[in-house]
Amino acid sequence: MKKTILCLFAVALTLGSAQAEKLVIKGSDTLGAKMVPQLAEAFKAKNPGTTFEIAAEGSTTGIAAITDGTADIGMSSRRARGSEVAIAATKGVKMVPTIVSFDGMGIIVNTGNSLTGISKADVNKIFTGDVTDWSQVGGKPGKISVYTRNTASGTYQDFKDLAMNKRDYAKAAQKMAGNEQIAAEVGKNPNGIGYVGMAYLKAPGIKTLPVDGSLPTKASVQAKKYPYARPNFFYTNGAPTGKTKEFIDFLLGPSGHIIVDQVGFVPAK
Amino acid sequence: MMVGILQDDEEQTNSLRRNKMNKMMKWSLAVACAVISTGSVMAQGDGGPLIDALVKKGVLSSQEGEEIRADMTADLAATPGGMITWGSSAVRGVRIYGDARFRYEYNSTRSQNTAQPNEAEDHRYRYRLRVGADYIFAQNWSAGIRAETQADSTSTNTNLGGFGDKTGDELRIGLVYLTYANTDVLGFIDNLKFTAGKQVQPFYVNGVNGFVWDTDMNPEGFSQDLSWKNVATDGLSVSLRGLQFVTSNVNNATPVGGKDPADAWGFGAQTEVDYQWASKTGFKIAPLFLGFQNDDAGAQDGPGALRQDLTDSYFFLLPAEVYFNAFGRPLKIYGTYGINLAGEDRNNLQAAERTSTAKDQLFNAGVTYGSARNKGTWDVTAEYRFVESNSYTRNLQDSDFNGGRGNAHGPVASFGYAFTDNIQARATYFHAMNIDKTQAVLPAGGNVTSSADVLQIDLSWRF
Repeated sequence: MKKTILCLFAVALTLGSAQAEKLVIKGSDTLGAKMVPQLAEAFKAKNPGTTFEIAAEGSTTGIAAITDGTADIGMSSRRARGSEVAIAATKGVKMVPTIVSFDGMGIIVNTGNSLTGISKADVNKIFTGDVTDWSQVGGKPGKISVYTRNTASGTYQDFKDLAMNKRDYAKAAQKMAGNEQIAAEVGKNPNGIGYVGMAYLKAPGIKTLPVDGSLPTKASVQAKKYPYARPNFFYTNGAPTGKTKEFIDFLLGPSGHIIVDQVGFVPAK
Repeated sequence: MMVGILQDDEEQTNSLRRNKMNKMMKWSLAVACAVISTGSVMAQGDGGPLIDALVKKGVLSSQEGEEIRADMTADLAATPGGMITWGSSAVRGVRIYGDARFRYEYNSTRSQNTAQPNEAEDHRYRYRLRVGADYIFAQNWSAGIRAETQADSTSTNTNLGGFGDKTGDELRIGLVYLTYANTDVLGFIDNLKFTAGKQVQPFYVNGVNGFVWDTDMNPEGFSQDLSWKNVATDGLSVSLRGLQFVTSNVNNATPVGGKDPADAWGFGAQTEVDYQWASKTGFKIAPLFLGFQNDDAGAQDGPGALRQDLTDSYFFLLPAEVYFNAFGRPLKIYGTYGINLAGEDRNNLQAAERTSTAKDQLFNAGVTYGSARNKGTWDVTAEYRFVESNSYTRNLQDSDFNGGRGNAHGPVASFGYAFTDNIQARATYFHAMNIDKTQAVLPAGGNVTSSADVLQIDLSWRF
């Protein structure tokens, strides 16, 4: 009898551990700070035994993790570069993108800033350093403090492509690790300006400037009217399979859409 | 019921078929448009702007657009060009270049020392290869490297022969430098350039092979170039240039002759004024000062002539030219005057060969007509040189004229013809004669010839 119980217990343990599966997700801070952790929690509730390891250190790290085979999913708020795809191919890795959401990069300033809107041209001039004082763009005189993401960030690269004609950032631009840090600094600095994803536009002390009259909203991003809108990606090695596919399907399904919307992103259709 | 189920199955199958066909059509349309519009799928890379437009118009969904873009990127990455990646993401552009040259050279020297054979002739078959790359980085920085044949500082030519062996065919580092360049600096400097490393010499000089600065001699140190355009009037440019370069790098830990040896440096400063009053018409004058700090007690690791040529030497040079078009081709009349400000001291050092005058002056005067740059074009140069024995240094002077030595004067002529935009033939002739035939043979490194002829026939190409 005891032997039978022990055997059944061992079988149950084995079966249990076989069902427990870990998904390793690395990459974008834009996706990994809020949206993906909340989706992971919701997925775990429906799929007990699934665990997640999420590291959000920038899109570049996510793409590299797929190349190196150290992640199941690479989160990225930018497209993989040709050079990254080439390096992955040399290691037998096929980078496959899945659009998981859309995001609009909002231009934020301190609530004390007198500006009520900004043009694309002025955004370009401020972030490239062509303009260094608020009086040059119709604001109260004051030296502009520019806050950007660091070079590992997909948002850093996307903003450069969409808002700066691929020109280099101003030498005086201060690099921050994530959206929350940028929002915090701009919220404290009356002369600060930065860019953050839609999920971070409600941080205290900041306001979002319409760019050529357009604010980053779900409608303007879906209609492709907001100029700094971009897709967000999950990269996988080949087409998603197994638990990875299940998680992505969950994200793209009705339950996932609700969470994506609640966090402040625009769900992918 | 069964019929209804079968009908439903048939409709579902047809719907799947239609979806599959639509998807194939969309992909084909997108790729075809990319090929037609851009002329080259590979040139477009990932077809970005076109795919964006197709997504915006609703021809493709966003996901379909991304899948096509990813496939195109992967295809490009599989091409030879797509496989190239750079070690640093800061690289914004690269220019790879080079040139090669085959040369036949005839040398004839007549010795002033009658104890030696009076005339020596030499026929040499030579080649040179230079390959390099310029890298453009972000934010005003750039860098360059170049490998060259030949170890000598004033030559890049190496001899053919040895039954095809490769001894002497080594490539060596000719250039390795980093540059910072900017415009409108501090609100009053139009152009600014700082360069550090083994670099192309920054000064304006004239004459065949650079006359006072052999074109193969690349200084190792730091240079600065500040320039202004349209100063006071249109067409007037002014440049200020500086150069600090190491000439000898001694072992500072080992005293020599009881003294602590010091590294030896050369310094240069030039002001160039260039006034162009019409298209390709103007004049240029650029006084140049060169000085050499040389540790005469140290163990110099340069050639033997270094110490003797450069001990307490300060040179003032004045190159100038007038340029304009004549009969549809460029014409340049040029000249240089130079004097060794410490020539008297050098003369006094040479106890056996001291002359009554310092013999410290040099000059050249020449004219170049035409420009052998593009297919079917040619140029011709006639020049006269005069270099007194204490006027300059063999370490910088054109090594093809009297071996770079002083106490020589004579004509130089050159004719070049471009077969194509990058393939050129050139013939150059140097004839050097003693200025002072009574001046006895100088110490090692001095002038041992009474006259010397050099004829060079070149075939060169750039890539």
